[in-house]
Amino acid sequence: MRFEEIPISTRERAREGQADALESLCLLVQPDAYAVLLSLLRNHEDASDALQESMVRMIRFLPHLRDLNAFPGWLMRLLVNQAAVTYKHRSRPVVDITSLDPSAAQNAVAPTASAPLSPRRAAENHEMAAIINEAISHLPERQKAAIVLFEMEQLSIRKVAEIMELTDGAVKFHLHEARKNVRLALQEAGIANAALFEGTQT
Amino acid sequence: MSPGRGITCTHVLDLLDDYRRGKLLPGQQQAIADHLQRCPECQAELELREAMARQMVAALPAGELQTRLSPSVHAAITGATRGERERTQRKTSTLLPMMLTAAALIITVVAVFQVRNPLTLTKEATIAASAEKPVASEQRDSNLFIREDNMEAKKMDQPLAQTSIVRSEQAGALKDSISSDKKEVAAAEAPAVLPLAMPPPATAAPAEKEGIQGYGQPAVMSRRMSAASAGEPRGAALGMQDSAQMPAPEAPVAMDAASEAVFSVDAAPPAQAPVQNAQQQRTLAGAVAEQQKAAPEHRVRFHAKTATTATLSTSTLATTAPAQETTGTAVAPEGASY
Repeated sequence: MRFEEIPISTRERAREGQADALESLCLLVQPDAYAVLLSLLRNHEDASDALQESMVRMIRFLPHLRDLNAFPGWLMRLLVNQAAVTYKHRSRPVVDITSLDPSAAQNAVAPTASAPLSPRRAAENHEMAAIINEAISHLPERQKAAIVLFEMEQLSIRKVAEIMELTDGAVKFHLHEARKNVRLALQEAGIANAALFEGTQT
Repeated sequence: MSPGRGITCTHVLDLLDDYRRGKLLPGQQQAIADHLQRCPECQAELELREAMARQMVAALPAGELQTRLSPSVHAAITGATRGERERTQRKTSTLLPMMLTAAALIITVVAVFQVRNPLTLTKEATIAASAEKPVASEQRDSNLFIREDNMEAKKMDQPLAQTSIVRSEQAGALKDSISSDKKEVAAAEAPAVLPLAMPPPATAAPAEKEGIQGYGQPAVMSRRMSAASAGEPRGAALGMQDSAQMPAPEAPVAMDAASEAVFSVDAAPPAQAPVQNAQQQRTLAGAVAEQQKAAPEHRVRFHAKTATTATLSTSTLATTAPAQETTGTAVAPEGASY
Protein backbone atom coordinates (compact mmCIF):
# COMPACT_ATOMS: atom_id res chain seq x y z
CA MET A 1 0.00 0.00 0.00
CA ARG A 2 1.33 3.37 -0.93
CA PHE A 3 1.87 5.85 1.83
CA GLU A 4 -0.85 8.12 0.47
CA GLU A 5 -3.40 5.35 0.71
CA ILE A 6 -3.08 4.87 4.46
CA PRO A 7 -6.33 6.02 6.09
CA ILE A 8 -6.23 9.24 8.03
CA SER A 9 -7.95 7.58 10.96
CA THR A 10 -5.13 5.09 11.24
CA ARG A 11 -2.58 7.87 11.12
CA GLU A 12 -4.44 9.82 13.77
CA ARG A 13 -4.89 6.93 16.16
CA ALA A 14 -1.25 5.99 15.68
CA ARG A 15 -0.24 9.54 16.48
CA GLU A 16 -2.25 9.33 19.67
CA GLY A 17 -0.17 6.35 20.69
CA GLN A 18 -2.71 3.56 20.32
CA ALA A 19 -0.88 0.27 20.07
CA ASP A 20 -3.15 -1.39 17.54
CA ALA A 21 -3.02 1.61 15.23
CA LEU A 22 0.75 1.81 15.45
CA GLU A 23 1.06 -1.86 14.62
CA SER A 24 -1.31 -1.54 11.69
CA LEU A 25 0.52 1.48 10.42
CA CYS A 26 3.87 -0.26 10.55
CA LEU A 27 2.51 -3.30 8.73
CA LEU A 28 0.98 -1.08 6.05
CA VAL A 29 4.04 1.03 5.35
CA GLN A 30 6.70 -1.66 5.71
CA PRO A 31 6.62 -3.15 2.18
CA ASP A 32 6.94 0.15 0.37
CA ALA A 33 9.38 1.48 2.91
CA TYR A 34 11.53 -1.56 2.40
CA ALA A 35 11.39 -1.14 -1.37
CA VAL A 36 12.54 2.45 -1.11
CA LEU A 37 15.35 1.54 1.24
CA LEU A 38 16.37 -1.32 -0.98
CA SER A 39 16.49 0.99 -3.99
CA LEU A 40 18.66 3.42 -2.12
CA LEU A 41 20.95 0.97 -0.36
CA ARG A 42 20.98 -1.83 -2.92
CA ASN A 43 21.46 -4.36 -0.18
CA HIS A 44 18.91 -6.53 1.59
CA GLU A 45 20.60 -6.55 4.98
CA ASP A 46 21.19 -2.84 5.00
CA ALA A 47 17.65 -2.22 3.87
CA SER A 48 16.29 -4.47 6.63
CA ASP A 49 18.34 -2.71 9.30
CA ALA A 50 17.35 0.67 7.98
CA LEU A 51 13.72 -0.40 7.89
CA GLN A 52 13.69 -1.35 11.55
CA GLU A 53 15.35 1.86 12.57
CA SER A 54 12.99 3.83 10.36
CA MET A 55 9.94 2.22 11.94
CA VAL A 56 11.26 2.96 15.42
CA ARG A 57 11.90 6.58 14.49
CA MET A 58 8.49 6.87 12.89
CA ILE A 59 6.82 5.61 16.08
CA ARG A 60 8.90 7.98 18.18
CA PHE A 61 8.40 11.14 16.16
CA LEU A 62 4.89 10.62 14.83
CA PRO A 63 3.30 12.38 17.84
CA HIS A 64 5.19 15.53 16.81
CA LEU A 65 3.74 15.51 13.28
CA ARG A 66 1.07 18.20 13.23
CA ASP A 67 -0.31 17.78 9.73
CA LEU A 68 -1.21 14.19 9.09
CA ASN A 69 -1.72 14.95 5.40
CA ALA A 70 2.02 15.47 5.20
CA PHE A 71 2.64 11.97 6.47
CA PRO A 72 3.69 10.42 3.10
CA GLY A 73 6.32 13.03 2.39
CA TRP A 74 7.41 13.05 6.02
CA LEU A 75 7.90 9.30 6.01
CA MET A 76 9.72 9.34 2.68
CA ARG A 77 12.10 11.98 3.99
CA LEU A 78 12.65 9.88 7.08
CA LEU A 79 13.51 6.88 4.91
CA VAL A 80 15.93 8.83 2.72
CA ASN A 81 17.71 10.24 5.74
CA GLN A 82 17.85 6.87 7.41
CA ALA A 83 19.28 5.32 4.25
CA ALA A 84 22.01 7.94 4.21
CA VAL A 85 22.85 7.21 7.83
CA THR A 86 22.91 3.49 7.22
CA TYR A 87 25.04 3.88 4.11
CA LYS A 88 27.62 5.81 6.10
CA HIS A 89 27.94 3.05 8.67
CA ARG A 90 27.69 0.11 6.35
CA SER A 91 30.36 -2.54 6.53
CA ARG A 92 28.97 -4.90 3.96
CA PRO A 93 29.91 -4.93 0.30
CA VAL A 94 28.01 -2.43 -1.77
CA VAL A 95 26.43 -4.98 -4.04
CA ASP A 96 25.86 -8.59 -3.33
CA ILE A 97 25.96 -10.18 -6.73
CA THR A 98 24.69 -13.45 -5.36
CA SER A 99 21.55 -11.82 -4.13
CA LEU A 100 20.55 -10.82 -7.60
CA ASP A 101 17.84 -12.85 -9.10
CA PRO A 102 18.65 -13.40 -12.77
CA SER A 103 15.13 -14.48 -13.59
CA ALA A 104 13.70 -11.36 -12.05
CA ALA A 105 16.18 -9.24 -13.89
CA GLN A 106 15.35 -10.98 -17.08
CA ASN A 107 11.68 -10.38 -16.58
CA ALA A 108 12.27 -6.81 -15.63
CA VAL A 109 14.55 -6.09 -18.50
CA ALA A 110 12.29 -7.66 -21.06
CA PRO A 111 8.84 -7.64 -19.57
CA THR A 112 7.18 -7.77 -22.96
CA ALA A 113 9.62 -10.07 -24.62
CA SER A 114 7.94 -12.92 -26.38
CA ALA A 115 11.04 -15.06 -26.54
CA PRO A 116 13.17 -15.89 -23.49
CA LEU A 117 16.66 -14.43 -23.30
CA SER A 118 19.57 -16.57 -24.26
CA PRO A 119 21.98 -17.61 -21.46
CA ARG A 120 24.58 -15.24 -22.82
CA ARG A 121 22.22 -12.31 -22.90
CA ALA A 122 21.00 -13.10 -19.41
CA ALA A 123 24.56 -13.12 -18.12
CA GLU A 124 25.24 -9.79 -19.73
CA ASN A 125 22.15 -8.36 -18.17
CA HIS A 126 23.20 -9.82 -14.85
CA GLU A 127 26.57 -8.12 -15.14
CA MET A 128 24.99 -4.88 -16.24
CA ALA A 129 22.64 -4.92 -13.27
CA ALA A 130 25.57 -5.37 -10.92
CA ILE A 131 27.36 -2.43 -12.50
CA ILE A 132 24.26 -0.26 -12.23
CA ASN A 133 23.77 -1.16 -8.60
CA GLU A 134 27.40 -0.43 -7.92
CA ALA A 135 27.16 2.91 -9.68
CA ILE A 136 23.96 3.94 -7.94
CA SER A 137 25.18 2.94 -4.53
CA HIS A 138 28.28 5.07 -5.01
CA LEU A 139 26.41 8.13 -6.14
CA PRO A 140 26.39 11.12 -3.85
CA GLU A 141 23.43 11.04 -1.50
CA ARG A 142 21.43 13.71 -3.25
CA GLN A 143 21.98 12.24 -6.69
CA LYS A 144 21.07 8.83 -5.39
CA ALA A 145 17.91 10.01 -3.71
CA ALA A 146 16.91 12.04 -6.74
CA ILE A 147 17.28 9.23 -9.26
CA VAL A 148 15.74 6.58 -6.99
CA LEU A 149 12.75 8.67 -6.00
CA PHE A 150 12.18 9.89 -9.55
CA GLU A 151 12.89 6.81 -11.61
CA MET A 152 11.99 3.97 -9.27
CA GLU A 153 9.34 5.53 -7.02
CA GLN A 154 7.91 7.39 -9.98
CA LEU A 155 7.56 10.60 -7.97
CA SER A 156 7.32 13.95 -9.70
CA ILE A 157 10.08 16.49 -9.64
CA ARG A 158 8.00 18.65 -7.31
CA LYS A 159 7.44 15.80 -4.90
CA VAL A 160 11.09 14.84 -4.91
CA ALA A 161 11.97 18.46 -4.25
CA GLU A 162 9.64 18.54 -1.26
CA ILE A 163 11.10 15.36 0.18
CA MET A 164 14.67 16.45 -0.35
CA GLU A 165 13.85 20.01 0.69
CA LEU A 166 15.37 21.39 -2.50
CA THR A 167 14.15 23.43 -5.43
CA ASP A 168 12.86 21.85 -8.59
CA GLY A 169 15.89 23.04 -10.48
CA ALA A 170 18.22 21.54 -7.94
CA VAL A 171 16.44 18.20 -8.23
CA LYS A 172 16.73 18.29 -12.01
CA PHE A 173 20.41 19.06 -11.70
CA HIS A 174 21.02 16.16 -9.32
CA LEU A 175 18.98 13.88 -11.56
CA HIS A 176 21.02 14.84 -14.59
CA GLU A 177 24.25 14.31 -12.73
CA ALA A 178 23.12 10.91 -11.50
CA ARG A 179 22.26 9.74 -15.01
CA LYS A 180 25.54 10.99 -16.31
CA ASN A 181 27.49 9.13 -13.61
CA VAL A 182 25.60 5.89 -14.16
CA ARG A 183 26.14 6.11 -17.88
CA LEU A 184 29.82 6.80 -17.33
CA ALA A 185 30.10 3.75 -15.08
CA LEU A 186 28.55 1.58 -17.76
CA GLN A 187 30.87 2.95 -20.42
CA GLU A 188 33.89 2.32 -18.24
CA ALA A 189 32.74 -1.26 -17.83
CA GLY A 190 32.58 -1.62 -21.57
CA ILE A 191 28.85 -1.56 -21.78
CA ALA A 192 27.78 0.88 -24.41
CA ASN A 193 24.40 2.41 -24.85
CA ALA A 194 23.66 -0.24 -27.39
CA ALA A 195 23.69 -2.89 -24.70
CA LEU A 196 21.18 -0.92 -22.74
CA PHE A 197 18.98 -0.65 -25.77
CA GLU A 198 19.43 -4.25 -26.58
CA GLY A 199 18.55 -5.21 -23.06
CA THR A 200 15.40 -3.21 -23.12
CA GLN A 201 14.35 -3.85 -26.65
CA THR A 202 15.04 -7.52 -26.86
CA MET B 1 19.82 21.52 -33.60
CA SER B 2 16.20 22.39 -33.71
CA PRO B 3 14.53 20.35 -36.34
CA GLY B 4 11.10 21.15 -35.06
CA ARG B 5 9.45 24.48 -35.61
CA GLY B 6 8.91 26.54 -32.50
CA ILE B 7 10.63 24.18 -30.10
CA THR B 8 14.28 23.56 -29.43
CA CYS B 9 16.20 20.56 -28.23
CA THR B 10 16.82 22.27 -24.92
CA HIS B 11 13.09 22.56 -24.33
CA VAL B 12 12.59 18.98 -25.37
CA LEU B 13 15.26 17.66 -23.06
CA ASP B 14 13.84 19.71 -20.26
CA LEU B 15 10.36 18.28 -20.78
CA LEU B 16 11.48 14.81 -21.74
CA ASP B 17 10.73 13.18 -18.38
CA ASP B 18 7.27 14.67 -18.28
CA TYR B 19 6.77 13.50 -21.86
CA ARG B 20 7.73 9.97 -20.84
CA ARG B 21 5.10 9.99 -18.11
CA GLY B 22 2.50 11.72 -20.23
CA LYS B 23 2.23 14.67 -17.84
CA LEU B 24 2.22 17.35 -20.55
CA LEU B 25 -0.71 18.94 -22.26
CA PRO B 26 -1.86 17.24 -25.47
CA GLY B 27 -0.42 20.02 -27.62
CA GLN B 28 2.93 19.79 -25.89
CA GLN B 29 2.96 16.03 -26.14
CA GLN B 30 2.32 16.24 -29.85
CA ALA B 31 4.93 18.95 -30.39
CA ILE B 32 7.62 16.93 -28.63
CA ALA B 33 6.63 13.79 -30.48
CA ASP B 34 7.02 15.63 -33.76
CA HIS B 35 10.40 16.93 -32.66
CA LEU B 36 11.60 13.47 -31.64
CA GLN B 37 10.69 12.09 -35.05
CA ARG B 38 12.87 14.66 -36.75
CA CYS B 39 15.73 14.80 -34.14
CA PRO B 40 17.69 11.55 -33.68
CA GLU B 41 19.73 12.98 -30.79
CA CYS B 42 16.74 13.76 -28.65
CA GLN B 43 15.26 10.41 -29.61
CA ALA B 44 18.45 8.67 -28.46
CA GLU B 45 18.35 10.53 -25.17
CA LEU B 46 14.79 9.44 -24.60
CA GLU B 47 15.59 5.81 -25.29
CA LEU B 48 18.63 5.96 -23.06
CA ARG B 49 16.63 7.29 -20.13
CA GLU B 50 13.98 4.65 -20.50
CA ALA B 51 16.53 1.89 -20.76
CA MET B 52 18.39 3.07 -17.70
CA ALA B 53 15.23 3.24 -15.65
CA ARG B 54 14.35 -0.32 -16.60
CA GLN B 55 17.85 -1.50 -15.80
CA MET B 56 17.70 0.17 -12.41
CA VAL B 57 14.55 -1.69 -11.56
CA ALA B 58 15.92 -4.91 -12.96
CA ALA B 59 19.14 -4.51 -11.03
CA LEU B 60 17.37 -4.39 -7.71
CA PRO B 61 18.64 -7.11 -5.45
CA ALA B 62 16.24 -9.72 -4.29
CA GLY B 63 14.39 -8.71 -1.23
CA GLU B 64 12.04 -10.21 1.27
CA LEU B 65 8.50 -9.15 1.72
CA GLN B 66 8.30 -7.46 5.09
CA THR B 67 5.07 -8.79 6.58
CA ARG B 68 6.07 -9.04 10.22
CA LEU B 69 7.27 -6.51 12.68
CA SER B 70 10.67 -6.91 14.20
CA PRO B 71 11.08 -7.15 18.00
CA SER B 72 12.60 -3.68 18.10
CA VAL B 73 9.53 -2.22 16.43
CA HIS B 74 7.27 -4.06 18.90
CA ALA B 75 9.30 -2.64 21.77
CA ALA B 76 8.98 0.83 20.30
CA ILE B 77 5.22 0.47 20.05
CA THR B 78 5.01 -0.71 23.65
CA GLY B 79 7.16 2.17 24.82
CA ALA B 80 5.16 4.72 22.87
CA THR B 81 1.91 3.36 24.27
CA ARG B 82 3.22 3.44 27.83
CA GLY B 83 4.59 6.92 27.36
CA GLU B 84 1.29 8.20 26.03
CA ARG B 85 -0.54 6.64 28.98
CA GLU B 86 1.86 8.23 31.43
CA ARG B 87 1.51 11.60 29.77
CA THR B 88 -2.26 11.37 30.05
CA GLN B 89 -2.06 10.44 33.72
CA ARG B 90 0.41 13.22 34.35
CA LYS B 91 -1.90 15.74 32.75
CA THR B 92 -4.79 14.59 34.93
CA SER B 93 -2.77 14.51 38.11
CA THR B 94 -1.30 17.94 37.57
CA LEU B 95 -4.49 19.63 36.43
CA LEU B 96 -6.07 20.09 39.87
CA PRO B 97 -2.99 21.52 41.61
CA MET B 98 -2.43 23.87 38.72
CA MET B 99 -5.99 25.14 38.95
CA LEU B 100 -5.71 25.63 42.69
CA THR B 101 -2.44 27.47 42.30
CA ALA B 102 -3.91 29.72 39.64
CA ALA B 103 -6.90 30.52 41.83
CA ALA B 104 -4.69 31.38 44.79
CA LEU B 105 -2.55 33.57 42.61
CA ILE B 106 -5.55 35.44 41.27
CA ILE B 107 -6.90 36.02 44.77
CA THR B 108 -3.53 37.32 45.91
CA VAL B 109 -3.22 39.69 42.99
CA VAL B 110 -6.71 41.05 43.51
CA ALA B 111 -6.08 41.56 47.21
CA VAL B 112 -2.83 43.37 46.60
CA PHE B 113 -4.44 45.50 43.97
CA GLN B 114 -7.20 46.56 46.30
CA VAL B 115 -4.80 47.40 49.08
CA ARG B 116 -2.63 49.46 46.81
CA ASN B 117 -5.42 51.04 44.90
CA PRO B 118 -4.60 54.71 44.36
CA LEU B 119 -8.22 55.71 44.83
CA THR B 120 -8.31 54.01 48.18
CA LEU B 121 -5.13 55.72 49.19
CA THR B 122 -6.53 59.08 48.13
CA LYS B 123 -9.57 58.55 50.22
CA GLU B 124 -7.49 57.53 53.17
CA ALA B 125 -5.24 60.51 52.73
CA THR B 126 -8.22 62.81 52.57
CA ILE B 127 -9.68 61.35 55.71
CA ALA B 128 -6.36 61.60 57.47
CA ALA B 129 -5.88 65.16 56.38
CA SER B 130 -9.30 66.19 57.54
CA ALA B 131 -8.68 64.53 60.84
CA GLU B 132 -5.39 66.27 61.31
CA LYS B 133 -6.63 69.76 60.69
CA PRO B 134 -7.92 70.43 64.21
CA VAL B 135 -4.79 69.02 65.69
CA ALA B 136 -2.50 71.13 63.54
CA SER B 137 -2.46 73.99 66.00
CA GLU B 138 -1.40 71.62 68.71
CA GLN B 139 1.50 70.34 66.74
CA ARG B 140 3.15 73.67 66.41
CA ASP B 141 5.35 72.89 69.33
CA SER B 142 6.97 70.22 67.31
CA ASN B 143 9.66 70.82 64.81
CA LEU B 144 7.41 70.43 61.86
CA PHE B 145 3.94 71.62 61.09
CA ILE B 146 1.81 71.80 58.00
CA ARG B 147 -0.61 74.40 56.95
CA GLU B 148 -3.14 74.66 54.24
CA ASP B 149 -3.71 77.55 51.92
CA ASN B 150 -3.42 80.96 53.24
CA MET B 151 -6.69 82.61 52.65
CA GLU B 152 -5.45 86.00 53.53
CA ALA B 153 -2.81 85.82 50.91
CA LYS B 154 -5.42 84.92 48.40
CA LYS B 155 -7.31 88.00 49.30
CA MET B 156 -4.21 89.99 48.50
CA ASP B 157 -4.00 88.45 45.04
CA GLN B 158 -1.29 86.20 46.23
CA PRO B 159 -2.88 82.90 46.87
CA LEU B 160 -0.59 80.55 48.56
CA ALA B 161 0.14 77.07 47.53
CA GLN B 162 -1.17 74.10 49.27
CA THR B 163 1.48 73.25 51.72
CA SER B 164 4.57 74.75 53.17
CA ILE B 165 6.94 73.44 55.74
CA VAL B 166 8.73 75.55 58.20
CA ARG B 167 11.19 74.29 60.64
CA SER B 168 11.23 75.66 64.12
CA GLU B 169 14.92 76.10 63.76
CA GLN B 170 14.21 78.79 61.28
CA ALA B 171 11.88 80.33 63.77
CA GLY B 172 14.70 80.62 66.21
CA ALA B 173 16.85 82.21 63.64
CA LEU B 174 14.10 84.60 62.79
CA LYS B 175 13.78 85.60 66.36
CA ASP B 176 17.38 86.59 66.33
CA SER B 177 16.74 88.70 63.36
CA ILE B 178 13.78 90.30 64.99
CA SER B 179 15.74 91.10 68.09
CA SER B 180 18.51 92.57 66.10
CA ASP B 181 18.72 96.31 66.27
CA LYS B 182 19.93 96.45 62.77
CA LYS B 183 16.74 94.86 61.69
CA GLU B 184 14.62 97.30 63.49
CA VAL B 185 16.41 100.17 61.96
CA ALA B 186 16.13 98.69 58.54
CA ALA B 187 12.48 98.02 59.08
CA ALA B 188 11.86 101.58 60.09
CA GLU B 189 13.68 103.00 57.15
CA ALA B 190 13.47 100.74 54.20
CA PRO B 191 10.33 99.60 52.52
CA ALA B 192 9.88 96.04 51.55
CA VAL B 193 11.66 94.47 48.64
CA LEU B 194 11.62 90.78 48.30
CA PRO B 195 15.15 89.83 49.24
CA LEU B 196 16.01 86.66 47.49
CA ALA B 197 19.63 85.80 47.47
CA MET B 198 19.45 84.67 43.91
CA PRO B 199 21.56 86.29 41.23
CA PRO B 200 19.30 87.30 38.40
CA PRO B 201 19.80 85.07 35.39
CA ALA B 202 20.63 86.35 31.99
CA THR B 203 17.06 85.91 30.93
CA ALA B 204 15.92 88.27 33.61
CA ALA B 205 16.67 91.32 31.53
CA PRO B 206 13.23 91.64 29.96
CA ALA B 207 11.60 91.29 33.27
CA GLU B 208 13.82 93.92 34.71
CA LYS B 209 12.88 96.26 31.96
CA GLU B 210 9.28 95.71 32.63
CA GLY B 211 9.88 96.02 36.26
CA ILE B 212 6.99 95.78 38.54
CA GLN B 213 4.64 97.08 35.91
CA GLY B 214 5.35 94.04 33.79
CA TYR B 215 3.79 91.86 36.32
CA GLY B 216 0.44 91.54 34.75
CA GLN B 217 -1.06 88.65 36.57
CA PRO B 218 -0.89 88.04 40.25
CA ALA B 219 1.60 85.49 41.32
CA VAL B 220 0.24 82.52 43.10
CA MET B 221 2.67 81.91 45.83
CA SER B 222 2.74 79.85 48.86
CA ARG B 223 5.02 80.82 51.53
CA ARG B 224 5.22 80.17 55.11
CA MET B 225 6.61 82.73 57.32
CA SER B 226 8.28 81.27 60.26
CA ALA B 227 8.20 84.45 62.24
CA ALA B 228 7.02 87.94 61.88
CA SER B 229 6.22 90.68 64.16
CA ALA B 230 2.70 91.94 64.11
CA GLY B 231 3.42 95.60 64.18
CA GLU B 232 6.56 95.49 62.27
CA PRO B 233 6.51 96.24 58.61
CA ARG B 234 7.25 93.35 56.39
CA GLY B 235 10.11 95.19 54.84
CA ALA B 236 11.74 95.52 58.19
CA ALA B 237 11.81 91.83 58.75
CA LEU B 238 13.23 91.35 55.33
CA GLY B 239 15.87 93.97 55.73
CA MET B 240 14.73 96.16 52.92
CA GLN B 241 16.99 98.98 52.02
CA ASP B 242 15.77 100.71 48.97
CA SER B 243 12.27 101.99 48.92
CA ALA B 244 12.40 102.39 45.18
CA GLN B 245 12.77 98.67 44.82
CA MET B 246 9.89 97.87 46.98
CA PRO B 247 7.08 96.53 44.92
CA ALA B 248 3.50 97.31 45.40
CA PRO B 249 1.74 95.18 47.93
CA GLU B 250 -0.22 93.47 45.21
CA ALA B 251 2.86 92.58 43.19
CA PRO B 252 5.92 92.12 45.29
CA VAL B 253 7.76 89.98 42.77
CA ALA B 254 8.05 90.80 39.14
CA MET B 255 6.87 87.88 37.06
CA ASP B 256 6.02 87.71 33.42
CA ALA B 257 3.82 84.81 32.72
CA ALA B 258 2.34 81.87 34.42
CA SER B 259 4.85 79.34 35.50
CA GLU B 260 5.43 77.18 38.42
CA ALA B 261 8.43 77.45 40.59
CA VAL B 262 9.46 75.84 43.78
CA PHE B 263 11.96 77.75 45.71
CA SER B 264 13.46 78.01 49.08
CA VAL B 265 14.80 81.28 50.25
CA ASP B 266 16.77 82.01 53.35
CA ALA B 267 14.91 85.16 53.88
CA ALA B 268 11.60 86.35 54.99
CA PRO B 269 8.69 86.08 52.60
CA PRO B 270 7.68 89.05 50.52
CA ALA B 271 6.34 92.06 52.16
CA GLN B 272 2.81 91.54 51.04
CA ALA B 273 2.60 88.16 52.67
CA PRO B 274 0.75 88.97 55.83
CA VAL B 275 1.37 87.65 59.21
CA GLN B 276 -1.16 85.00 59.65
CA ASN B 277 -2.55 85.70 63.01
CA ALA B 278 -1.61 86.35 66.55
CA GLN B 279 -1.72 82.70 67.41
CA GLN B 280 0.91 81.91 64.86
CA GLN B 281 3.07 84.66 66.16
CA ARG B 282 2.84 83.29 69.62
CA THR B 283 3.76 79.89 68.41
CA LEU B 284 6.73 81.21 66.62
CA ALA B 285 7.83 83.15 69.62
CA GLY B 286 7.73 79.95 71.64
CA ALA B 287 9.79 78.20 69.08
CA VAL B 288 12.23 81.04 69.19
CA ALA B 289 12.56 80.71 72.89
CA GLU B 290 13.36 77.05 72.60
CA GLN B 291 15.95 77.47 70.01
CA GLN B 292 17.97 80.49 70.72
CA LYS B 293 21.02 79.31 68.91
CA ALA B 294 20.03 79.05 65.39
CA ALA B 295 22.46 78.37 62.63
CA PRO B 296 23.89 81.65 61.40
CA GLU B 297 24.32 80.17 58.05
CA HIS B 298 22.69 82.09 55.32
CA ARG B 299 21.42 79.80 52.62
CA VAL B 300 19.43 80.21 49.54
CA ARG B 301 17.96 77.36 47.62
CA PHE B 302 16.11 77.74 44.47
CA HIS B 303 14.35 75.25 42.30
CA ALA B 304 12.54 76.33 39.20
CA LYS B 305 10.52 73.87 37.19
CA THR B 306 10.33 76.16 34.24
CA ALA B 307 12.39 78.98 32.96
CA THR B 308 11.38 82.01 34.86
CA THR B 309 12.47 85.56 35.05
CA ALA B 310 12.10 87.62 38.09
CA THR B 311 13.70 90.65 39.44
CA LEU B 312 14.80 90.08 42.93
CA SER B 313 16.88 92.15 45.16
CA THR B 314 19.86 90.35 46.49
CA SER B 315 21.69 93.22 48.02
CA THR B 316 19.42 93.39 50.98
CA LEU B 317 19.74 89.77 51.74
CA ALA B 318 23.32 90.17 52.81
CA THR B 319 22.19 92.47 55.53
CA THR B 320 19.33 90.42 56.74
CA ALA B 321 19.29 88.49 59.90
CA PRO B 322 20.88 85.11 60.26
CA ALA B 323 19.48 82.05 58.77
CA GLN B 324 15.91 82.47 57.90
CA GLU B 325 14.94 79.68 55.69
CA THR B 326 11.58 79.80 54.17
CA THR B 327 10.47 76.97 52.13
CA GLY B 328 7.51 77.37 49.92
CA THR B 329 5.88 76.69 46.66
CA ALA B 330 5.09 79.44 44.28
CA VAL B 331 2.92 79.28 41.25
CA ALA B 332 3.89 82.26 39.22
CA PRO B 333 2.72 83.35 35.83
CA GLU B 334 4.54 81.73 32.99
CA GLY B 335 7.71 83.49 32.07
CA ALA B 336 8.21 84.97 35.47
CA SER B 337 11.78 85.40 36.47
CA TYR B 338 13.56 85.19 39.66
